[in-house]
Amino acid sequence: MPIFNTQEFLHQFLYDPKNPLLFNNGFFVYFFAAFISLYYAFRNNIKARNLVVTLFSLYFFYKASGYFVLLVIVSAIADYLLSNMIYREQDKRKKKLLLALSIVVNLGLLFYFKYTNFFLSFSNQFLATHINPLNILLPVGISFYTFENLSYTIDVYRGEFEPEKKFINYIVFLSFFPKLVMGPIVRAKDFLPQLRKPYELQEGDFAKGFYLIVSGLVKKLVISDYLTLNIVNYVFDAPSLHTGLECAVAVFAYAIVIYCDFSGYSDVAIGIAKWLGITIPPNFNLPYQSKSITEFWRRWHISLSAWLKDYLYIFWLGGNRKGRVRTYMNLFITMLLGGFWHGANWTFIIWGGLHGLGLAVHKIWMERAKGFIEKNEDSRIYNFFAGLLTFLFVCFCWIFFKSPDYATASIMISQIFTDFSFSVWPAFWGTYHNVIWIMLLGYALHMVPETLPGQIMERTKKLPMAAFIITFIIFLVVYAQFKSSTPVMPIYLKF
Amino acid sequence: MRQNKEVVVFTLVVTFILFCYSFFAAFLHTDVLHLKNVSILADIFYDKDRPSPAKPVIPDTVMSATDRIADEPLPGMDTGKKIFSKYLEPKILTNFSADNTKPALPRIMARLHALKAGKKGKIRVAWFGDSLVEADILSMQFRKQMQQYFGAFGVGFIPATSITSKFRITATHNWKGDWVEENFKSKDNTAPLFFSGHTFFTGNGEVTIQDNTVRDTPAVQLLEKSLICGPSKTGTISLVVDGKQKQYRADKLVNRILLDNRNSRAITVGISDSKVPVYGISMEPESGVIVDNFSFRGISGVELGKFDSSFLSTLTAEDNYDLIVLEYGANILFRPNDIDYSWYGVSMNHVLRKIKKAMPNTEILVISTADRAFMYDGQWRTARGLYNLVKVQAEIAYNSGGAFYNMFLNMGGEGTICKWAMSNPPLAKEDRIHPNYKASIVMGDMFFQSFMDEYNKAEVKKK
Repeated sequence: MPIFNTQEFLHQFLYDPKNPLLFNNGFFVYFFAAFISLYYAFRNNIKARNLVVTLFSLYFFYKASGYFVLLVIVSAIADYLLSNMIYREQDKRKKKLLLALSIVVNLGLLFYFKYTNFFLSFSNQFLATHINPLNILLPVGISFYTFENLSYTIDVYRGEFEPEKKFINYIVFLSFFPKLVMGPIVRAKDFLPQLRKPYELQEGDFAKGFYLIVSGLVKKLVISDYLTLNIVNYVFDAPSLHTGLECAVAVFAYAIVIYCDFSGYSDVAIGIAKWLGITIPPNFNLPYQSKSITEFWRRWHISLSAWLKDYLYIFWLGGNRKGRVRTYMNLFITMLLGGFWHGANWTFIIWGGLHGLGLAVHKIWMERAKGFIEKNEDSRIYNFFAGLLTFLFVCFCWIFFKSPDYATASIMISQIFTDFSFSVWPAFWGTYHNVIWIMLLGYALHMVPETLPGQIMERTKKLPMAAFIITFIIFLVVYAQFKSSTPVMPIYLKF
Repeated sequence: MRQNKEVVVFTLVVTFILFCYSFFAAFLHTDVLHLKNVSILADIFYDKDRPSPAKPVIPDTVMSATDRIADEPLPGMDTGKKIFSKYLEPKILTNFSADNTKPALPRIMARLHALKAGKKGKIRVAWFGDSLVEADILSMQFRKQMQQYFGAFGVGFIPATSITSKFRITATHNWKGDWVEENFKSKDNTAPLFFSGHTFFTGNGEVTIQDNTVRDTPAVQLLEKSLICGPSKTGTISLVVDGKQKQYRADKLVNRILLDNRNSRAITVGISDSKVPVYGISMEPESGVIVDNFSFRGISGVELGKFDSSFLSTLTAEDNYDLIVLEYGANILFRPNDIDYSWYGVSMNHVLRKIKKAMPNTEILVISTADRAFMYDGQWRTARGLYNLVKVQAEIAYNSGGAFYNMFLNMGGEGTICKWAMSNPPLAKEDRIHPNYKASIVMGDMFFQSFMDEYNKAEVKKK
């Protein structure tokens, strides 16, 4: 006879570091049911509705990251005040100083939490200091909301819009729970106007949100988690114990894992936002269909690459306005810092550097081989090889992204290039055939035409409610077959 | 407005369905289509009567210990009263003797006492194992502790080439040229295999080894560097040692050719006779403890039966090994639902008879499997047959007249590897098979402590 555990029941309401609140937690079902009921109840009372969003968002963040929720509040207060001061200030020098202060506050917090120990270990290694690392926990989502804060104050400084007068709206913008912990990074000028409208969904919005949520959950919970637990983690944990074939397959599996994990989570966030009447632009657009590294970055983590382009490459480094060589350098620096944004580790710096190099080389290729490209841009063979080369380059870079350190990455590469043989295929297939099928499913889903999701959303919008409920139950049945007792945290949760 | 309602209705209906299913599933013990995996009440209800789905088989419930240990004891076995169940006692290295004052492995213990008292000599330990000890990770700590206590240094044997060379920290190992390899897994081997399970041939090879253990202990002795190889047709072999060409005798089935005995810690050897089986290089002290790591990935120990008896005899006549340590398990526990490992006991008894016959003065120590887990019903748990394998391994030790060390028990027993894989920092790899470098230091230290307890018993006995 099951016993109701009162202590566990009460514990569910508190932050548990081992089980942070994510979209796939059982607790989220209750959370969302309570939230949507209140949100709907106050659909025409914008003030009360935004208060509900704020309280639920901050509670969601507390359940995901504990008392670091205070950091979001402090950060929101600082940027709300500073942005209004920047807007009111007429003196250009003082305006600039206030902007600098906002940047220092935001980046200061980010650097303290994310990079202190990296620089301490750098100092110990290269400057022969002996400083012990500090016990600093990384607040969930800090990299995302810091960039949102920065884009907000920079846009206000540039006079692109008037800062938000109501603090509650600003805190909703910053803490909006669907995107708080892992993005997408949204821009205030797109987001804030939507908070001032009553809650009113258009025809097809429910079906769109449903499609994004279910397809996102399938990508994250079925495909990505299965591959993570059944090949990627094993091989990357000890590449020397695996053959070149296993290592190579693990890299291609990781390419699917990171895409399904992050784009899946983004899709759920965008889908939930859509259900709440808030439109957030897509964060991924079938990135492995790219035919160049430049195109890849237009399709991969779009909100981050757009942010880096607008605020780092153009605003800070000058973009392509300072000559050809400087343009290449700017691309390289942008991606190097983009890599560093992901984490305080040399592997991320190498990953970013490689992508920066790739972008610069592609730019040179575009300039030098203009005639050749124009002649061949409709050629299937050219496009196939351009796509293959881009995909292989991206996969090679993922080795550094996934490896915990440079040594692991170099062993991985060495195993692939020096210990690769198809002679182990029978044993490999015996162990990993399910993995291969799931990988093929992942790649097949990725190869669909860009227009297909839109067509599905359009065709399903008139379906009765029962059809959506049955579809969701079918999804739950499928998920139940794949669910493991080992929780797989989303990859971008640690960034 | 219909659209607004759709979201609320959908959410509340799905929540209600999930709640009802979770509620009935909890009370009726039903699990249609594994839907209990998505129960939204699982965290707040618990069922004290529900059995554990993958509880390992408890010792003595599947096989009778006395049946198997009744095999004919090997020559040299202590005939005093023995208690087999001592294999279940923690923190000891046992020879199963009922007399707790008698040390396990008495011969090597006596030699160690003599060494400590100042008598010169080499005490050799051959540490056999699978991927759990590759790159020297567990033997490294034992060697370090032994050499710190008894003096001396030297990494011991390094095979001519190795897939683990990049991450072996006790030696820096590089090679050039074309090498042909025969090993435990290859068919139609043309020369006897060395303890490492490998034989190499090269007509243009060069190997460079730097011994990194010298940094761990003060360099009070010279470091002997020897090439271990098979016979040459002419009875001699031409080698280029640190750039200088020299002729050496190589007329025995196995030859230990001293290349250098200065205090430098590195050597480069060039070999150009593709007919001579080359095994590796040994870096060892003139006197002291030498621990050779003979790890071979993916084996169970049964492969040791492939050693050529006359080769073993020649090797023993040249350099006797005082102790053979056998540490296997992960590749025996390769199927999650296996529980009967009697086949392994039978096979290993044959292997050890052969080894003991060729190496009568060598003692044997069996180290049990470490904890290893499989996924049962979506949960990582200790392998079902693990207790039984430990018992079979204890029987192998018992029958060989050697000693036994229960690694599984001493590392923490059931569930340890799962805890280690999830700890922060992790102590085991994600595969729940391999303890990592950090854990191997702890495991090596614990083993050394138990070994020294026996050493100390031997001292008491002497007095």
